[in-house]
Amino acid sequence: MHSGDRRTDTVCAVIVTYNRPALLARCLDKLEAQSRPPDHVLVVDNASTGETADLLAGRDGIEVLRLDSNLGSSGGFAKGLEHAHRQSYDWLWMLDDDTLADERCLEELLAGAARAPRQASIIASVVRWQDGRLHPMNRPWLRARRRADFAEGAAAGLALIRTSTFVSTMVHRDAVTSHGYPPAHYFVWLDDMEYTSRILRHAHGYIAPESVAWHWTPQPYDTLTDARRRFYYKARNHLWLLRRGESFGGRERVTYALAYLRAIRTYVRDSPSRGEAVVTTLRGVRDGLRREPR
Amino acid sequence: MSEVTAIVFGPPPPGAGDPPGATATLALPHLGALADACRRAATPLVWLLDAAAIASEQTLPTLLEHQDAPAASLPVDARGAPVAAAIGRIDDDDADALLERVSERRVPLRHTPVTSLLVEVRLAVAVAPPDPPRFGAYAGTEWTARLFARQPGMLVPASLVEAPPPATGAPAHALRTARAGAWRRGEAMRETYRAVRALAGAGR
Repeated sequence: MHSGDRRTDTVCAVIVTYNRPALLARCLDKLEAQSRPPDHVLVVDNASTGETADLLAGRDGIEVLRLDSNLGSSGGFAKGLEHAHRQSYDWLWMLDDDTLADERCLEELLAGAARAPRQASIIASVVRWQDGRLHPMNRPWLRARRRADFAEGAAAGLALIRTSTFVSTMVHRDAVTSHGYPPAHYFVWLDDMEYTSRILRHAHGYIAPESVAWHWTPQPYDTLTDARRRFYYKARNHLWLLRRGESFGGRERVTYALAYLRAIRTYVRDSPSRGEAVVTTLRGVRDGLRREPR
Repeated sequence: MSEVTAIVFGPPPPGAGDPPGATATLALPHLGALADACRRAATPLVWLLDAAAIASEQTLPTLLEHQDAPAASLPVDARGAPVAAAIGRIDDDDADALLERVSERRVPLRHTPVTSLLVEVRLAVAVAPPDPPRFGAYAGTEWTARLFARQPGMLVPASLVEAPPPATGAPAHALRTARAGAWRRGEAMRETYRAVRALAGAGR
């Protein structure tokens, strides 16, 4: 798919932010401190209203793409990826503004890309929460059933993956050329899964275990335990993802459909207000069954 | 290099020689005689090798770099491509542990057919030996499921061994292996289905 010496590849970091200047500052500090800094840093400001603009104005070497309205992280990443892709960088390194990349994070991602046994369309970091555990929201979906490919990757010190999240994930520009951009209309949640699983359905992606990023959320949330009202997006987007059928097919699609039902059951069961949870879920299911805006 | 006794099991192909790198070699008709062979081995480590497999000069030394756990080679075909069915099952229950093992260039396994496996004698004799009459072609899988439950086994992908795909067993053997708990539900269904299908195909 793509060729050349991965170690000399160029990288554009794409960060999406919305009204979290303190976290964004830390995220950018971490990028500055990289043992192998990115060649370019693009911050997509989702029409933040607070101090974000001042913070960004005071930073050198950063390109800011300010959006007129808040398009959610999905819209921000879609716009950022489109903008960065036009600038011909080899890799587009996707980071939420609450991602704190370890010093060698990017260097190890590129080293992983260089030693990958197959042309890698995606290389991702291990994402941890504050206490060192794998972050539940970014738990890797390992492709362990593809035993031969997995073994081949492991021989190079890489773990074959099926999807990844936009918390320190590098997407190769050729994959963007072939597959386009993430679904901006998701607003939040599952846009990264839709996009990376669509790319990796017939391609190879890996986690480089030595590349570590910290997802600095206040709690180790996942899509069920995060702010409860946002489950609407999970219920809607999951259904869109399933219905579109470009990311998962066959048995994987069935598995993902069952995961959807389990998620709804767990959400409703564990919600402090079941009535509210049912209403939120039904709204998401209703909109997920409607025509998906493209 | 550590001293290792190679235990070669199964009918030897014509012209087969001793596997390279081993201190001594013992030949067995099948895996069922493993316990006795382990007792005869004068080394702390044994290398279980299918007689139909072809090991290279590097197969054993590479396994020895990972001798802290039962270490299995990666079975490949004559073109060097991995033989997925001969790898066994990757243990991905603990993603964090799996990633750590991958960074060490190895992969935890829940079970594997025995093609090329380096294991400590004390561990090999601590579990009941493989039972080919009961489990047939799945005897190695059933045995390693018990062995790896005691000490996790590792696939070492850099250690290559040329091997044919593992034979599909009889449905009765598949059912017994499933009942013994070597496989999870999905695996048990798939393997039993394959065994039935192979039997039906052989009957045509």
